[in-house]
Amino acid sequence: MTTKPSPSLIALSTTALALPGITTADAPPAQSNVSYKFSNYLEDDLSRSEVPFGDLERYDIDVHQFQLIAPIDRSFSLQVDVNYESLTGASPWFTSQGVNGAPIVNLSGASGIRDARTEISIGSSYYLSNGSLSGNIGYSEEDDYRAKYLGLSGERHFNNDMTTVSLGLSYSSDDIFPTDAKVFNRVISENKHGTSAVISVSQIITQVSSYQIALSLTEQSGFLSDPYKLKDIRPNNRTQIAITNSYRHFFISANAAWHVNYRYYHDDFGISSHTFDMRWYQNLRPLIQLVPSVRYYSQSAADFFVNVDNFLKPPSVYQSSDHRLSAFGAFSGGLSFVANLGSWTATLTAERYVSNNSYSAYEVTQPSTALVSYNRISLGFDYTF
Amino acid sequence: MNLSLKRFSFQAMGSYCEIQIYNESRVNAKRIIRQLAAEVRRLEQKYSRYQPNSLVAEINYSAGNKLGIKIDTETKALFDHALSCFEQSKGMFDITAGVLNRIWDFQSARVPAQVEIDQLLPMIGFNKLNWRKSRLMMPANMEIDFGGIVKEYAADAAAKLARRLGVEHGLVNLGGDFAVIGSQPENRPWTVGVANPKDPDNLMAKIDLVDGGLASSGDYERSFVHENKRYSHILNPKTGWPCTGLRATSVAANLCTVAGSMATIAMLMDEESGLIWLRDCGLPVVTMASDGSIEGVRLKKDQPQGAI
Repeated sequence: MTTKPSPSLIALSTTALALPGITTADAPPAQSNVSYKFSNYLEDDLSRSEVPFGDLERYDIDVHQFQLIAPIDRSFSLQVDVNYESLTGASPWFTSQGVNGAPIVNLSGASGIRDARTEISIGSSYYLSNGSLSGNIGYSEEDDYRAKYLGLSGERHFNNDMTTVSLGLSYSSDDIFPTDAKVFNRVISENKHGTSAVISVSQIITQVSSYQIALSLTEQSGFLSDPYKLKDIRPNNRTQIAITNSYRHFFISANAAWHVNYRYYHDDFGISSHTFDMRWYQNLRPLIQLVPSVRYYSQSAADFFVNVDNFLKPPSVYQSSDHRLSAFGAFSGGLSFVANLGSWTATLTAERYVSNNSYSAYEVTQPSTALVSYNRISLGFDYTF
Repeated sequence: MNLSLKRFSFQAMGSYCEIQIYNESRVNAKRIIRQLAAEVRRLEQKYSRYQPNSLVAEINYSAGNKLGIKIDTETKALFDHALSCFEQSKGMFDITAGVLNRIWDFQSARVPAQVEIDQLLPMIGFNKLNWRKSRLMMPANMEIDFGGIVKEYAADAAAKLARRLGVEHGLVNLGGDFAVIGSQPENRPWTVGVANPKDPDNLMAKIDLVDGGLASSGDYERSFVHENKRYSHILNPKTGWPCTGLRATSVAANLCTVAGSMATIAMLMDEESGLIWLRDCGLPVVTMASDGSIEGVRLKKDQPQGAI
């Protein structure tokens, strides 16, 4: 009895396996998916010792996210994203020295800020036998900010689909036109541009593990300062580079997946950072998943960071008291609960984020006040049809 | 986990079709089966030779048009597979042979005159199709028919979609062309019966499937006897006359599409070559010879499947 396949059988199998309905190559999603997610992001209030006057309350942000992914035909899919954020609260306006010499924060607007942001993005992907091409355009608008962006990306599978290489390019153009510009002597209207390129390689290592490395390069130019801060002068160009490593492992016996990521970042403002995060996706029978996660982040300060604004320096000297440019460290922990109910999936997530100068892995010469800690709660629904 | 079997039957591709899947939830199973049936109907509408607005009708309408017609990726892949069938059968499996159906009418049992056949032969030949990248320029009067490929492909595509939707145990039967998703629960094989061409209500064999597909080719319905001679509906594209080889062939393979192509090619050969072809392929096979004798090899799942 012959058990070896004949050359004819091999030839016929080869062409049959290349048929789109049979092949394991990329294909548009077979079903449409609609999802909606609501998140609330609430920053901790500042302490009275940091803010001598006015409201202690900082940002309280509600985010509504809507997404539709639908196949158009065998080779095309469409994705539409709409985000709506409403924001209330206050953000640091300037920092000054208190009576004892410690920096104190002056929050903007006694009645606080009230703003809303709407963003819409439309994208499409074209699926080829061994990869895909995608493009998207987006537009976002709020009272004092307008962003337009477009992106193109492509990915290709090699080596029997074990290796995937992808390349992405994007461009953004943002307009900034601060409110009450005349009253507070803010800039009237400014613009900034960003160009970004990402290349990534992912490799399936074994049946249960994979690794991905990605390199991204971003060049920003234009008005990069914060128009709402009283004294905030930053360079007009910024080059950012980031390397991200991701490893995924599925544990068959535990019926759980472990995701671990490390990212290194550096820019020519002088900021370097490390991010380390882990997630554990525990499947609990029959249709419930628990996902605990932890994350550590630390960055060094920008070269021109000051923790107390110096109003005597000439406007040609770079300086900023933005806490996001200071050296600090942050821990966050979260827990997601995912339930699959037929065509529906519900996800409930709670996260606590705490940042502090003392958590920094880098030297802190000028500790910033106004570092943020927050709670985030989100509830999302997915419907597949 | 309590898996239960859900069955759903429907009419598509001119045949009785049935999908069976095991699922924990009946609601889920129903939703999945609806999507699988939709995939089968999509392929039927796209590739039917009988529907005037199908892609195949459009392609055939383009015959003689110098500009040709742009062919999408899926259809191009079907042409590539058809080319593979054409080459492996040394020109016997030819999707351009459908023009012969204009003169061979198996319902009225009429034998055409040689002169009628001679007029049609120049319109046959897969190698006469001209391609410029993904554009097909088909010579005037030619036509194509994916009938010998698409039903099997649809069974595989539905099975593949089922897997993508999370089905671990299921069976797709499109008029005797089968594609299965895994075994039945507890590693039980799917036992598929092969109908007897002489007595379609009875089985000539049973084949165990644990994955892949099974397809059959034979004189199940469309053949007639004229002046003591049996005329099979399987036509030789080179002579224009019915083939006189095997009466029926069923093949099991990793894909229903592969099984179907193997079985069809065996039927197009003379009986002896067909039997050798099937013996050499290493797959589970059942045949009925012209004298009615039935032969089966590698039919039980513990026997080597010659899997590729």
